[in-house]
Amino acid sequence: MLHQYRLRWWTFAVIAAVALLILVPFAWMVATALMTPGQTLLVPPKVIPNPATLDGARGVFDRIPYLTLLGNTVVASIGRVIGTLVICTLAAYALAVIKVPGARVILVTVLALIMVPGDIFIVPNFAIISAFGLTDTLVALFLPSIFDVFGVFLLYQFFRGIPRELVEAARMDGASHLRILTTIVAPIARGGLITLAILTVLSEWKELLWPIVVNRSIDKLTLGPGIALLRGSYTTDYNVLMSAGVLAALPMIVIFLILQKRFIASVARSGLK
Amino acid sequence: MHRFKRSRRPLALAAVVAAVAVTLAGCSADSSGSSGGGAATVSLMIWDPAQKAGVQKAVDGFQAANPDVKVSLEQVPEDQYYTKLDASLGAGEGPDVMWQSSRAPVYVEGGALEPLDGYIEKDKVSMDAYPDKLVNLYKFDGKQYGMPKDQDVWSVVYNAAVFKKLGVTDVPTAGWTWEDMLRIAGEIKAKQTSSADVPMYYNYDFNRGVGSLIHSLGGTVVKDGNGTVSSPQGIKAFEMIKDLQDKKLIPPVKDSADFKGTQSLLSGSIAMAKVPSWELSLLAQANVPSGTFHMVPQPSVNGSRATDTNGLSYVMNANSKRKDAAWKLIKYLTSAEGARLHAEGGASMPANVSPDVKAAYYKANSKIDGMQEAFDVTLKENYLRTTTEFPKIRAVMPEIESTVAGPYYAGSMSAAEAASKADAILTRSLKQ
Repeated sequence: MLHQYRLRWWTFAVIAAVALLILVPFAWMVATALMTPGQTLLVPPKVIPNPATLDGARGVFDRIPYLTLLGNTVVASIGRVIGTLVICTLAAYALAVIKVPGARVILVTVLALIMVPGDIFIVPNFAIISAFGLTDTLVALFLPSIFDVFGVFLLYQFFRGIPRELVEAARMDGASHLRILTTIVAPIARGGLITLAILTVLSEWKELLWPIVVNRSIDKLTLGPGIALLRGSYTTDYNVLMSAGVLAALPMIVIFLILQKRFIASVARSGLK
Repeated sequence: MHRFKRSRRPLALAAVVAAVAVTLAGCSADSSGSSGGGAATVSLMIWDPAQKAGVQKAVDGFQAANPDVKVSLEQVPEDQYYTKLDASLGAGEGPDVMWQSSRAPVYVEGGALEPLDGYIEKDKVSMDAYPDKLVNLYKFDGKQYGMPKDQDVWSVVYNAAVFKKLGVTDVPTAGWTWEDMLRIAGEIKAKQTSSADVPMYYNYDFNRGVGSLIHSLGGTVVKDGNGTVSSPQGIKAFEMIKDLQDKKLIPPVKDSADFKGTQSLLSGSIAMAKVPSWELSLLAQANVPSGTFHMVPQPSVNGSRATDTNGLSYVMNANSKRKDAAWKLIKYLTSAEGARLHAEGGASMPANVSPDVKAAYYKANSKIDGMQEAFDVTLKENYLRTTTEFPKIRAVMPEIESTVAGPYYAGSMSAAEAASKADAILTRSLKQ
């Protein structure tokens, strides 16, 4: 049942205004990235770089090993996505489909963890990672965050919506839980899995405090701390900082655009069933 | 039924799990291998990007003299420095050698730092090379935990090019007073084109801004275990800084958090700024014609030019596995040679005041005119920063900034109220 909305002029006006609000800071970042340090500090600020220069971007490559940091961020993101998907899928399956004894209590406990600020876990997490002898490794970047409480909750909601008849029919045909999970539940809930993957990549990309705490060498850090190193305590070359921001955001935007297509497609497919 | 048989997904899943497990195992083997043997690598952790070049130069000097020890210098952003230390020292890890400041007592109490007396005695290192007040900062229960690295000296630097551009010939002089500063800043303000422009920068923060004015006026911030800001001097100090803001001579308090005085001085958007010694290398190494930056001491208030000082130190991790190498590094970095290299590379005024270290520091910063004269005056009059003298109050400084200083400068509280609220907070923290 598709309802045809009539688009009025103010619909476009609202969309344009919101789009402007979202895009202006980004445009300013790009503009600042192309300025000389002197231009970035003018009062009142000038928006158009004149003359435009790539010195900022060059500064990024001079001061931080950008490609190494980018590679580490990609590796950490992949590791975290795989780990998170595996753990959260299994946990949500146990809670929503198998309904293990005490599932409700477990779910409430998991939900309670959402309320706790993540920074509290920095010290115990470090102690654990240190006990494994994993400090200053790429694995340390993502290992503590692969159990994602929000992910468990998200997938729990998706898995609950799966018709019980499908699962029961498969059980009667002798399928194991692992098989039901991978052949029935996961494909139907693909939208949820992809959403979780996107959110996980995003949060790994933004990670700042944990990589700085757990890793020592610059070639084991991610983009977030790399950019933070460009911010001086007393002076900052904003053109370099903003160039690093653009360079860090670009791969993310590309990935998001690619994943977004699949995301929409999978939502549409699961809706039709 | 048929569908299930064709599926390879469980296999794929198992493969992924296996891959993760292998990665984990592989990495853990790697790290234990690298920390096990080979040449001793000593890790050194600092927070200040502006001083990194200076520290690196000293580290290079150390490595040339000690080819058997490798030093890995790591700079951590200041905001995350202590979080990282808390987490890593708590787990028995962390850098072998690190910077410490007035938070040192916390780490000494927790047993995270190594007393250095045994090493100092063994190598017969003389502590006479450093001012007593800096040495005593890192002495707890009669044990020496840190070797003094530097000291803070505050001065005023003006950008002569800005004065010239605006046609102001009335420049700060070595003997100037607070009133002279107000007059000169007012002249610049009158010539500036935009009403948003400000002529100068002065620090708002309670600890270093209000605190040193109280000291100059002859008052105290803390005395006999109580906050003593509610005095005529304390109220006057608050009012003097607010007066600068109300006359629009410094950026308003709401814009001050992200305002960087030294950077604005470099770019020429302000004419003069109160600058600490650890930022001077940024001015001395800037790509500007010589004669641009001139230094004068603080303007005299009540006949005094007192500014606060604090000194960082190099300390050793009690859990270090390479203590002898770590000591060698500390000893070198704080020796006359190490301190000289710090100064030459660009770092704060070294705590080691051997004549050639001082000379090297002035030479490295010779692009700033009048520096030695300004320092000679200031070094004589400086006093220990309040948080350095009374480390207990360090924890409540953010509270004073947000609940007292912020509202006061924004105009929602009187100076007398601000002073008595500050006292209540200070006294509470001292009683803890």
